[in-house]
This record gives sequence, C-alpha cells and structure tokens, in this order.
Amino acid sequence: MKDFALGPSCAILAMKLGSLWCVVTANPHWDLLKILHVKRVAMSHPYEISIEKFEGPLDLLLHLIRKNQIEITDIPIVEITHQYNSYLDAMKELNLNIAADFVAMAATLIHIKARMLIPRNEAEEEDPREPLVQQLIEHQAFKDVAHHFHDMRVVRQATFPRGREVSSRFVEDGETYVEVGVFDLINSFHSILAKHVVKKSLEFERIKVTISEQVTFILTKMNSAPRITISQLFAEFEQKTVWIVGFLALLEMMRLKYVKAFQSEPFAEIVLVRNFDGLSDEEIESISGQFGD
Amino acid sequence: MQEPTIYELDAAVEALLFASESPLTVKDLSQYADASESQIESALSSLKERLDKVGGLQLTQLAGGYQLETKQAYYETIRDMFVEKRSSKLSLAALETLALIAYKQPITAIEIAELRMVTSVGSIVKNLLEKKLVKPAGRKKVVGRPMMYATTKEFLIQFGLNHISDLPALEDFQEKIAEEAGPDDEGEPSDGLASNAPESDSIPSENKESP
Repeated sequence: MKDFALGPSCAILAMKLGSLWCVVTANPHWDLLKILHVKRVAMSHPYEISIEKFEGPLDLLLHLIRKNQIEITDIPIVEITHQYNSYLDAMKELNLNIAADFVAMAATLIHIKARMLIPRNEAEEEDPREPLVQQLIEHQAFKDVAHHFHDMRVVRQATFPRGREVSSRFVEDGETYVEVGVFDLINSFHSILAKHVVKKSLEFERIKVTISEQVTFILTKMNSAPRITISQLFAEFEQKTVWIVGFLALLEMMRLKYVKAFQSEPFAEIVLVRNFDGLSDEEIESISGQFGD
Repeated sequence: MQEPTIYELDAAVEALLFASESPLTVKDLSQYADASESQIESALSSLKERLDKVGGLQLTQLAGGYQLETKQAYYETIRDMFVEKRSSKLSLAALETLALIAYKQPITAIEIAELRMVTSVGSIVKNLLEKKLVKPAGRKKVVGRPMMYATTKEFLIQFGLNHISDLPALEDFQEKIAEEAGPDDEGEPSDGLASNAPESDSIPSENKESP
C-alpha cells in the first residue's frame, strides 16, 4: 500500500488489485466517497485517471450501470451485484469505513438476486428488480434536474437587475485589479506573515508599538507611494507584534476609507491604493491622534 | 389630481419598476400607481412591447412579480463591472439536494438523506439555508418533530421562475431516462441473470466514459 499526497483536504490511498491500480480518496465524513480508477495504459502515460464521486450507494450503482452500458430497466443483477461487492471489498481492503447505506444496498442486491432465482408467475408477480429500478430512475432524474437547474441559473445570470454594487477596479500592465474586502486581506496577511517574519529570538524584550504610530507610518509611507503591496509596506518590520499592530492599523485605514485594497486574481498579492491626495504632517497627526496609545 | 391616461400609466409603472430593487407584483403596482389591476396589466404589456423594441432593458416576470433588467445581449458588456462572488457557486450535490427540496417540499433533512441514500445532508442544507434558497417550513408531526424545508422567493429569483409550479415536470425527466434505457427492446427482456455486461474480474475495470 502506498500513500499519495494529492489535495489538502482528503486522504488518498493507492493499492494494487490484480494488474490494476485502485486509488481511493475519502474525506473525513464518509458521505462523500470518491473512488478514482487508475489504469495502466502505456509506458508514456502510465496512468489514466478518472474521478468518480459516489455519494451513496445509488450513485455507485448508476456508475456501474453507465460504465457497463446497461439498460436501467433491465439490470443484469448477478453481474452488478458482483461488481458492487468488489467495490465494497476494495474499500474494506483499504480499511475504509463503509457507510451502512452501502452495506444495506449490498444486502438488497443479494436479496433481489435470490428472488430472481425462484420461479415466478410473470403475469402476477412483480419483477423483484422493480422497486430498485424505480429508485434508480428517480435518483437519476434528480441528477438530471440538478444539471437543468444549473443551466437555468446560468441563463438568469446573463441579465442584471438593479441594485448591485459596482466593484472598483484599475488596470495596470494589462492586469485588472479588483477591489477586495477585509477577508481577502486577512487571508493574504496570513500567508505574508508566514513568509516574511523570520527573526526568531529567545530574548524577551518589551516591544512598544501602538496603532496610532502605525497609522502615522502607513499614511506617511503612502504619502510618497500612492500604490504599494502589503509586503513592501511592511518590509521593515521584523517582529511579529509590529506586524500585527501594523495590520490592525491598516484595517482601521480601510474602515475609514483612507486606503483601498485591490487584487488581480484570487490569492495574488494585495495591492494597497491610497484614497487621499497627499496629506500634510499635521493632517496625518490628527488622523493618528484618533487612535490614542 | 388628473386621472392618469394609459400612456402616462405605463411610464409610471416603468418608473416604479426602475426604482425597485426586487420584483413588484401587479397588486403592488396598482397600489402605488393608484390604478386598477387590469389597467396595470395593460400598462405592463405596452411597456413590455416598447422595451422589446428599443433600449437595453427588458421586462421579466419573476417570483410572481415584474422586474426590469438588462437584456441578455449586453451580458458581456456588463459582466466585467462586477466581481463574481466565489461563494455564489453551487456544487452538483447542492443542486441535487435543492432539486429534491423544490419538488418534494416541505421535506425534512432525514427524508432527503433517505431519498439520496446518503448518511447526512446537514451541511448541504445548511449551505442552502445560508444562501437563502431554502427556508424552514414548520415541523413535521412525527416523532422528534423534525424541521421541514421549502424553497424561497430567492430561489425563484435566482432560477428565473415566476412560480414554483413553473418547474419542469419531474415525470418528464423520469420518462426520458426510462425511454433512453430501452428504445429498441429486442424480443424478450432478459431475466437479469445472464451476464450481458463486459467481463470484469478485477476492479476497477475499464472506465471509458468521459470525465
């Protein structure tokens, strides 16, 4: 058995089954079960991977039906039961918890299979597969409706009613920068903090820094540089405390609309743009004076 | 005050719709414009006719009311003015759950989980509640009195429906699946025991469908 790192939120395991590789991913809640198939195709492309997401046993059954190109109304129950149980076995091999629903479906399949073997009067008795077929058709219908809903929403989004706030933006070097909110700023702050604060010290010293000082610092800096990235702005700061107080000061500046934050794409570095035309030292002092010590 | 003529009324309706950020019903319009509902309806149809001919706006029937919005032709022009909210996207699982609620409402979370044969739908329902697409609709009179859910006006607005009854019939979807399953039934249906599926001893077997 082999472990792969593939994506932050799910555990991925790979194992060899016969001549084929099987990769199973699972999130902590087992209601989202994903099975990936990995197939050896050629040496140049050693693995062909397709991802199928099974949310419950009906999803898995529909997948098997599609894969085998079987008619939903006429399921070869022996073959499907066999394939279904093989999947369950593979999950067991991987020591994955199998949700009770999956086991219940296995029992249902075996029950149907047994009843198919008993002779019955076709005119009077219902096909043992019928209830399951109805369930599968309904499940598939809702899957189709979901796609239809998606399309309906896309059509709706092509027209605009009144009342949406226009996001401010500017273009520089062919990149469009769009205004972002405080939460994007916080995300960006976390990543910059992790990257830039390198000075680790075992000495304890009292660092005295106030929001008021940092407001003065930010406004003075941006007085000469109308556009600046966060890491440029905070480049001189070494201690974490100074960074954090600086960030708090920056949030205050955004709240009071002295500074706006822009981003060219998700997770790109935040660019700060000043929302004032040059301030005198007295003006800066009176702004920072609002924040006390 | 002078009684408004038909022509002026249609301008008044247009002005009301422009000023409102959400759809207005005929009743709302008749109240504000001080005209009968039939006068409002004829004003709406002449407004629609006029808008269809000129300008960048159209009159849309939505969630039981009327709303002015931009014509689809100007989508590309307008799109860049707004940042798409990442949070507005819905996963396929969320859409499936929403579809179940839309067709089976009012429905409890447990009933949804049973129909979808999954262990829990709590997080998806919570997500739909947060997006205001579904709302609590009373408690079911069974043991435990579980909360039932129904779709909202916001759902109608986001999916372009005038009324919940405008949803396409679920039976049409089901019939289509059943038809696709057996368009050319050759002779006897199998007893379901014969293996007409490709042989596959080990799993996973060939998986050729497009991702």
